[in-house]
Amino acid sequence: MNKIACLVIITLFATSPAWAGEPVAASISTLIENSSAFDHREFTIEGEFIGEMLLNGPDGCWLNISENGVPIGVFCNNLLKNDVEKLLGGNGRRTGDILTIAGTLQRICPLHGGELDFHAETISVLKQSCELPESISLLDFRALAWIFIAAIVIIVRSLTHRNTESIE
Amino acid sequence: MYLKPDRGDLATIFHFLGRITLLLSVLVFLSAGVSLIAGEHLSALRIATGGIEILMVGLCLNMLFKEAESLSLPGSMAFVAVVWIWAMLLIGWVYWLTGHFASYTDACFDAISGFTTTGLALIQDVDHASEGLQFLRHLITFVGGQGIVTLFLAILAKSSPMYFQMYSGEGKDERLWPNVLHTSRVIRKISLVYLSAGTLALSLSLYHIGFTPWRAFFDGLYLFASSWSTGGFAPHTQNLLYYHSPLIELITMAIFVVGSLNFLIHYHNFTGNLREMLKNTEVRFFVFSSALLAVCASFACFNAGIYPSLETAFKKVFYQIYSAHTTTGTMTIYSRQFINDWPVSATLAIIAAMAIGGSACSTAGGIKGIRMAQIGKGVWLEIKKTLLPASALATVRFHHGQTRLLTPQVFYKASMIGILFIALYAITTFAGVLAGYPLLDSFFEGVSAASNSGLSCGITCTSMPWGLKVVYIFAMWLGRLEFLAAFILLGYIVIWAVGK
Repeated sequence: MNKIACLVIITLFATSPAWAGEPVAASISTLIENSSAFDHREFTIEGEFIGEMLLNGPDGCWLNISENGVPIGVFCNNLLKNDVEKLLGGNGRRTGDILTIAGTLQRICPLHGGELDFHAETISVLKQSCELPESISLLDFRALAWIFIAAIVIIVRSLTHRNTESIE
Repeated sequence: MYLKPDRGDLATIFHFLGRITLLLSVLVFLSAGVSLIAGEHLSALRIATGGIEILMVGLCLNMLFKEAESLSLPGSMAFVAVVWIWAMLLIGWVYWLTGHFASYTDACFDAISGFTTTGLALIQDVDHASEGLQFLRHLITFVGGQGIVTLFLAILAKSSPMYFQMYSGEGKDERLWPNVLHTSRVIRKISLVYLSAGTLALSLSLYHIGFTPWRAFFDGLYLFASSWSTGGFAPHTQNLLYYHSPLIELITMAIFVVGSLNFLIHYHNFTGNLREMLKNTEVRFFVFSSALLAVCASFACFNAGIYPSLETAFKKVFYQIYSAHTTTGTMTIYSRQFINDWPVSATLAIIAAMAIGGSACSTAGGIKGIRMAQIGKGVWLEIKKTLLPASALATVRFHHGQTRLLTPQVFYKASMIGILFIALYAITTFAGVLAGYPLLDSFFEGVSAASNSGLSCGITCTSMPWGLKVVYIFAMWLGRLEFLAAFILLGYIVIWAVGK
C-alpha cells in the first residue's frame, strides 16, 4: 500500500510542470527584475521579434524579443537558425512576428561576455508580422494645406520686406 | 545699479532666435526627407508639417526684429541660455506631432536630452519609430554636441566681437584660433572628419553581423552621432545590448572616449602635435581617474560574485565606467542591474564617474576633468605652502595648451563651478527622493541628468512624476550651459521686470 502511495506522489510531482522542469511562462520584465532568483531556470517567454536577426559567428544567431516594451536578447543555436531565418522583425513600417520561445535564462552568460540573455530551445510563431497602418487622416492634409498657404504668404512678405530694406 | 536691457538688445536676441529657428527647420526638413526616402509617408508628412511651422516662426521673428550692431555681454549670455530652451520647445513640438510621445512634456524632455547630449529618453516604442524620427533624434544629438550656437556661428554668422560672448556662454571658454568664427568652423570640420570615419567603421561592423546595407548605414550613423556627441541615444530600446557584438562595443567606446576629449586636443592632433595630448593635465586626469574607478568597480563586482571571472567583470564594468566618465550613457547592461545586481560600491563608482564627467570644451558634461585637476592642484598648493619654509615661494603648474601657473582666480573659478554642480546633483537627488524613489536610485538618476550622462537605473520613464521630469529638464539645461549663462538670463529677466 505504501509503495502505491509513494508511486502516486512521485507521479504527481513528476507530472507537475514546476517540478518536472517543464518551462514555466514568465514575462520578460519579471525575468530581468528577478534574474538572480531565476538564473539557469527554464521558462517560456512571449514577445515580438524586433529588428533583424544578428549573426554570432559560427555558433548561432541572436533575436531581440520585446514584450510590452521590455526587450531581451535571445540566443539561438545553429539547429534553430533555419527556422529563425524565416522570421520577420518589427521596425518603423511593420510589427514583427509574435513568438513563443522556450529556453533558459542566463543571468551572466559565460558564452556571451557576461550578458543577461535567454538561450532558446524551441521557437514557435504565435502571430505573423503585419504592416503598420499608415492612415493619413484628413486633419493631417488640412493642417499641411493651411500651413503651406501661410508659409507662402510669409515668404512673399519676407522677400518684399527685404527688398524694401535694400532700396532704403 | 544694474543696466536695464535696452530694446536693441531684445530685438537682436529675437532676430538671432529667428535665424536659429530657420536653421532648426532645415534639420527637420532633412529628417522629413529621410522618412520620405524610407517610404514612411505619414511620418514624412507629420515631420514636414512641424518643419513648416518652425520655418514660419523663424521667418516671422526675422521679419519683426532687426539685428543691432552690437549685443551687450548679458544680452549675449541671455541669448545663449534662451536658445537651448527655445530649440527644445520647437523640436519637442515636431516630436509631439509624430505620435511617439505620451505628452508634450515628454517630447520636450527627449528634445532637451538630445540637445544637451544627455541621452535619457522618454520616446515610446522606439523600436517602431520611423526612420525620419530616428534620424532627427540623432541629428539633434550631433548638433547639440557641437553646441547650437557654435553651429550657428559656423554656418550663419559674420565676424563680430559679440560672437565670442555667445560662444563662451555655451560652456566653451577656449578659442582654438583668435577668431571665434574660425574656431567654430574648426570644431565643425573636426566633427565631420570623425563622422565619416566613425560611420564607415560602424556600418561595416554592422553589415558583418548581418544587417542589410541600408540598416547598417543608418544604425552606424546613429551610433556614431550618439557616441561622438557623448549622447547615449540608440535606435533600439536595448541600447547597445541590442547588437550583442563586442566589436560594436569596442568601436563605440573608442568614439566616445575620443569625443569626450577637448577640441583643443583634436586640433593639436590634426596639426601633428601629439605631445599636447600626452602633456595635457586634463587628459592625464581622465586616464588616471577612469582607470582607478574602473579597476575598483570591477574588483567590487567580482568580489561580490556578480561576475564569474575577473575578465568578465572587467569587460562589463570598464565599458560602463568609460560610458559614465565621458557622460555618454550607452549601456551594455540592463538599467535595473545597476541597482539589483551590482554592489553599492560599484554603483557609487559609476555615479562618481558621471559627476566628474569628460573634458572642458568637448561634447561631454559634468564638472570636467580640468576643473577637478585644478581643484586638486589647488589643495596640493595649500599643503605645499604649509610644508615649505615661510620664505619659499610655493607654486603649482598645469598644462592646458601651454604650461601655466595655478592662480587664485583659476582655482576660484574651478571651485565655483564644482560647487554649483554638487549643489545641482543634491537638488536632483532630493527631487527624486521627494517623488518617492529610493535614495540610491535618485542619486544615480539625478547625477546622470545633471551631468548630461544619460545612464539610467530605471527612474526615467513615461510614468515618472511630471514634476521630476521638469526638474530633470532644468538640470540638463543648467548642466550643459555650466550655470553662468542661465544665471545671467535669470538676472536679465529680473532687471527687466524691476526696471533698474
